[in-house]
Amino acid sequence: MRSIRQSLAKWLVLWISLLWAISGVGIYSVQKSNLESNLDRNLETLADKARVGDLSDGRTALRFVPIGFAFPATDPGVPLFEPGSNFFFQAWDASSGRMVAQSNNLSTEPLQWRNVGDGERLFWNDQLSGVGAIRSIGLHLRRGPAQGRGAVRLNLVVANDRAFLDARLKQLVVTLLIASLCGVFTTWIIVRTVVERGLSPLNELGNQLSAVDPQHLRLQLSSEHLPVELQPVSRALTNLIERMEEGFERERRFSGDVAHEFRTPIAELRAMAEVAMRWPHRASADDYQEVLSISVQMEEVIEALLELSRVEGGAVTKALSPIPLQAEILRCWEPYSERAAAKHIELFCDVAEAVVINANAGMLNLILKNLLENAVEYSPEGERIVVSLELHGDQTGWLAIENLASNLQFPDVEHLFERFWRGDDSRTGVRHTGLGLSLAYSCARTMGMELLASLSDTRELTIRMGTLTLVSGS
Amino acid sequence: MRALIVEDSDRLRESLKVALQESGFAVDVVEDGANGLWMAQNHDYDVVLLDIMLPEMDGLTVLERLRESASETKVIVISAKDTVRDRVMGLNAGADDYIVKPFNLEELLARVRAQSRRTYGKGSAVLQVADLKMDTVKKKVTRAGYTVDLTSREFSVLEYLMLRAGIPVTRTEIEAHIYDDIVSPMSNVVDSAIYGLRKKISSDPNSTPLIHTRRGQGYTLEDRTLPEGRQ
Repeated sequence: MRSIRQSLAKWLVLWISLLWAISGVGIYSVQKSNLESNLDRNLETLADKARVGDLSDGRTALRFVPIGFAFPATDPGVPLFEPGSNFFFQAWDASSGRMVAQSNNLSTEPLQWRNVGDGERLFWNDQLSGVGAIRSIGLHLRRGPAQGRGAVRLNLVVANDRAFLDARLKQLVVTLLIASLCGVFTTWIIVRTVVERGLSPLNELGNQLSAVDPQHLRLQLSSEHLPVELQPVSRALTNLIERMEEGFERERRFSGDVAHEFRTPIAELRAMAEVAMRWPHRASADDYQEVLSISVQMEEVIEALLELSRVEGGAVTKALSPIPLQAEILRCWEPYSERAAAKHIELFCDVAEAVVINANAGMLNLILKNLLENAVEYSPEGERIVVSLELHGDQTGWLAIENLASNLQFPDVEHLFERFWRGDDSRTGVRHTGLGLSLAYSCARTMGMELLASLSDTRELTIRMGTLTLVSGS
Repeated sequence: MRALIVEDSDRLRESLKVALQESGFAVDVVEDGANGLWMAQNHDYDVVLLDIMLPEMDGLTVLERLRESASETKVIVISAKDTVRDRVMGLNAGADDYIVKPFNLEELLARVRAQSRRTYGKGSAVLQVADLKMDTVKKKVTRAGYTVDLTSREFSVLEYLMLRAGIPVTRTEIEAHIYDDIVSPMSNVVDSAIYGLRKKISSDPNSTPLIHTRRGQGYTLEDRTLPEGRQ
């Protein structure tokens, strides 16, 4: 499992260790350079003290002017270039390549000459048998004129044992390694502590979230002590939890409503069955008709719920097509015309025959049927239902269905589109499910439209649907 | 026993009416809260079955107004509302019992009978006066160990007299608690029932008469061989 804490600690330790390593290499390089520079300076100083002379037999001789001080890491009791000294020299005649002189502490194996240019001083590392690693300087010595008779030109190599320098460098490497390891370990502890402290607000947030009871999500996450970086997260989580709780509450209410909706018909069925079984002489053929009615009523509720679920779940086709509005209204009125006639309710359709709107046929049908059924159900006897089209320009409009709803109160209007909401809680003589307007509302939303309800002072209920896109007839 | 059913569902109301009638109750039914309140306030019911979601006036309001009018009638709420809050509200409003729909009819009848008995201060389902015993659940009556066969109407009259043992019960009270329909003042249905009862529970010539007529007061069921106050 990925862990921010471990990941942060790992990468921080890695990068800081790399910095430690780079620093170590830098320190080593600088120190090595300094030590070698010192050694080179010593060699150069010594080489500068070399003088060319002639011996009585005419041979060229080489001597060194005393330098007057002791080089570091040399035994003051041992003269330079003598056995026991760690300084060496060797000189060759530049023209013949013949060795002219060499220090007494050199064995037969001579020092190596490199190709050094005129006036140039060249330093290099070398190996000397019986000594090991040495540092050498090569230069030209001259006496007399540059060329011609009396000109003497020597190639001189002065060398020093590197053992002291290499020991110092080795010690430096060990010191740097130990320091680096200690540094890495200290870094690891510091990084862990810092990361732990830095991420503690996340733990606090996590603890607050862990404390959320799934049954009661109402929780205000405290962002008081959280760093500014986490406050938006805290706010977003609080909002998310609130939305989830609203969703759960809606689902709980819905489940409760569904259960409640079925309790009475089930109670009716059960009571009828128990009475018929216990007192068969009181049962009649009408009871079967009643059982059928109850079953149909329950089936209608289930069908409406499934339809609502399909619409809200997007499992319906949303394709739009041109629909003649007046014809559709009259077609949807047909199933309710008989009941309307029984209540002496008249439909007045104030929509021109030529009006064609762009809508989804199935959903428009559902909306109109439910709105008209609702109007017929709740209109008092002898009233009329008015369906009209309000034009907004040439291309758009709102369809309004208006009827008298004497029993409706102003606070009821905001609940009209809620599932299972009915003006009369008792459900006495209820012919529909309490889901019709909710279904109509969902259909309208699915088509990108709105359903708005308003109630006038004279208790005229108007449900408006829009915005409708007019294809023709405006 | 007389019961009032206040329920807006026609089917449920009818089923309950049949079940209570078959269990020996005289039953009145109304379908809305306002009429239910009026009936409960103006008639003497042993028990009222009251729905909550009613047209005109909801059941809780009916209950509150009934209690405000100092009525002690036993009320059983029958409702589809099943949450603890709903039950608490119903009981706090003055209900004696709360039953959630759908319910078991047998259980409902048992609760109705229990509440009816409590109206007369009786807890047991078995009533006894002297050697006359009545099991109100099994609908069985015995006298000195012998079974007494009674009609449904006779059983109801005897049950009412036994519940009010030692107290004079007027003919009107018997009519009001036992008979569904309005009984004509000239009718002798109560007298006929009492006559039949007397005969059936006194089949042995040596048995003590238990049903007595009190002139101008009605009937009383008591064992007069016992000292006063030992019924």
